Amino acid sequence: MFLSNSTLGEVVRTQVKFKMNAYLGTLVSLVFVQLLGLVFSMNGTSSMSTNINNTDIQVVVVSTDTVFIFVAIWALFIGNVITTKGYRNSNLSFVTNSFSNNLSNIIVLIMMSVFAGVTTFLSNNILRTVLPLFNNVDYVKSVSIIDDPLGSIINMGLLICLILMISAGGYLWGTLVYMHKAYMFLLIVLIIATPTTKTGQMILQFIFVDNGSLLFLIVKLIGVSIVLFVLAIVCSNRLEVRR
Amino acid sequence: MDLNSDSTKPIYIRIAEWIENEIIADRFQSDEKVHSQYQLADLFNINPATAAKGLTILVEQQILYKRRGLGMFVALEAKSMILEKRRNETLTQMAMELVLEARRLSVTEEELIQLIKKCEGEQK
Amino acid sequence: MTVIDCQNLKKRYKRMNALEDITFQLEDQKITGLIGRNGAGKTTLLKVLAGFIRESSGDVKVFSNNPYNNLRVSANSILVDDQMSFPDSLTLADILETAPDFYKRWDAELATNLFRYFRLNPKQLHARLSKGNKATFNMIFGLSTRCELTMFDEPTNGMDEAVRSDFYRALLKDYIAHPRTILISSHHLAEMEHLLEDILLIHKGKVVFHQSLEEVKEYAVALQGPTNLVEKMTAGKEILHTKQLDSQRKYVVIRREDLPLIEGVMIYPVSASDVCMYVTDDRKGGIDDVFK
Repeated sequence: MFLSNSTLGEVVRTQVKFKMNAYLGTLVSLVFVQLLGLVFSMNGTSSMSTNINNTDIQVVVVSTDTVFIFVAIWALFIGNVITTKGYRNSNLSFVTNSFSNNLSNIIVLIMMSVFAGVTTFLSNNILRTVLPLFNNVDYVKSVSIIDDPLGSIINMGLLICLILMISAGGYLWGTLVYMHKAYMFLLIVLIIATPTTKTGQMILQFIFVDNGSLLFLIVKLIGVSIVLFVLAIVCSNRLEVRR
Repeated sequence: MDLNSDSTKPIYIRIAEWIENEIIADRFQSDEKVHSQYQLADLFNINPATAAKGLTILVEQQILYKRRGLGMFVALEAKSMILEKRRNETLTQMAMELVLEARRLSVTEEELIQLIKKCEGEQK
Repeated sequence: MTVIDCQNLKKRYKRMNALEDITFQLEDQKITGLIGRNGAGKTTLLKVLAGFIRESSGDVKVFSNNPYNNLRVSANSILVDDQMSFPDSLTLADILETAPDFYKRWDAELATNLFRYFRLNPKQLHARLSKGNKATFNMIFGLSTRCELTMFDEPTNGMDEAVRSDFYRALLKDYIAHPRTILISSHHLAEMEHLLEDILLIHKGKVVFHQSLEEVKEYAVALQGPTNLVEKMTAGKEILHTKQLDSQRKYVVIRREDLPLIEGVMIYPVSASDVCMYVTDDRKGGIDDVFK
């Protein structure tokens, strides 16, 4: 009898390769979501008009915040969707166990978050290029990566970590829902409870407000992501598949 | 030979009989190698273990002999042994059935012997 | 070497016990038929062995490891069933290309040849395949993995007659070329018994017997003849099945033993498939009794 021995590392690597290939469609959906966000961004988030010497000056603040909100929803959805039955079962035809499946999913989510973070950050540039073509714009002022390389990189890192954390939340949520349908309502409860309760506000403040620097925030976001992923791994280890 | 047809005999017995028939017909000569269990399995679309069982019966009856690592070979006296065996066992069995059937049909002993002689005559 | 070792294996679901008490061992390089009626626990047993679900109690070992969540068992075993699925974004050709990354003994040549023989479309998506073609593709996948433990759960469901016999032939030929442990469940014993070496019969979550096919075929005999004679012959014996043929004649199946020849009573062998059916029958009387 000949038994092949696969190490965890090998299996995870193979699974990541396979999943990146299989989930390519999600990246297409990302681009679509970003474009949609861009369209909504065109009108700007706020504007201000003044009149100096019979000349109308309109200052419009345009940002890619809308794009980010769209991408955040996408990340939550992707984190969730790869835990659903269809995705879960389609991995079972290949070599896997719960732990390797989780690890490879997490790596895939990290890679997708990096891709989503970078592209979302760069969408700012697209906006800057496209804006003058459609609107009656004379001057666009913005900070580009060349002006402030370090700041830009930190911003990009922040974006990536935020997206990762949201996808980690989606991943944990999906895992819980797979365990029991009732957890479906957990997210809804959380969405309502977090900004309205004292503890929720404290947690939000701890993560987003009490920061000495942006780097510190990045570290915190990564920490939260790790906690969420570990919880998902622990929960799903007890999970039976293809019942 | 279709082994999966409705026959009351176990498949491994039919495998053994097939090899015996091949030996009687001189398609397997003395000291010649016979099919392996895997060749038989492929040929008759059966599990190799079943085929092996058929071979084992013939080894036990010393119609075949085993050469380690080489396979199964036909024993020197195989053909005469098979003929002898069939005369003793198969023919007796068939005669037994013939007598039973004759009794069921109320054919007398006389009539039965007449019938056998008649068949004998027709074959000549 | 022992490939599977189950000791008092139980599996409880919320509302029922799928496996009550399963104890058996499977030696390597044998084709074993897992036989049982609907709801006997065949699928549950296979899923426990594949490591998809966890036993509730008892002990289960595959390659000396508990299969649940075990990477070594996953790498060396495959369960082919109709719930098998693949990502919607991959074509059949993509799947066959991905497989060797996971299964080190993947036989690409066999996969390609079978794929061509059964005229599957490489650009097709797995989810879009017809029931029969899906079963065919899953079978090709399962055979090509060359896993030391290859399990099929009702593999021929949905296949047409010609594909079924081709499948059994392909399985046998590949087994002859590369012997390995094959466990195949079905409720059509008759159509695959020629392939089998052993039979594992389970009923209501328990093992009824685990014997060679030849033993199963010699497990029982049937007697048919005048009711009084048949009843006299079978008195005090373990009766597996009876059927009143008409007002005077009866058909009775008992455990095999040497019986005296009695004028008027015919003695028949009982096929393996009938043996399995009779020993797992809990009802008194047969379907005919419903119509009395």
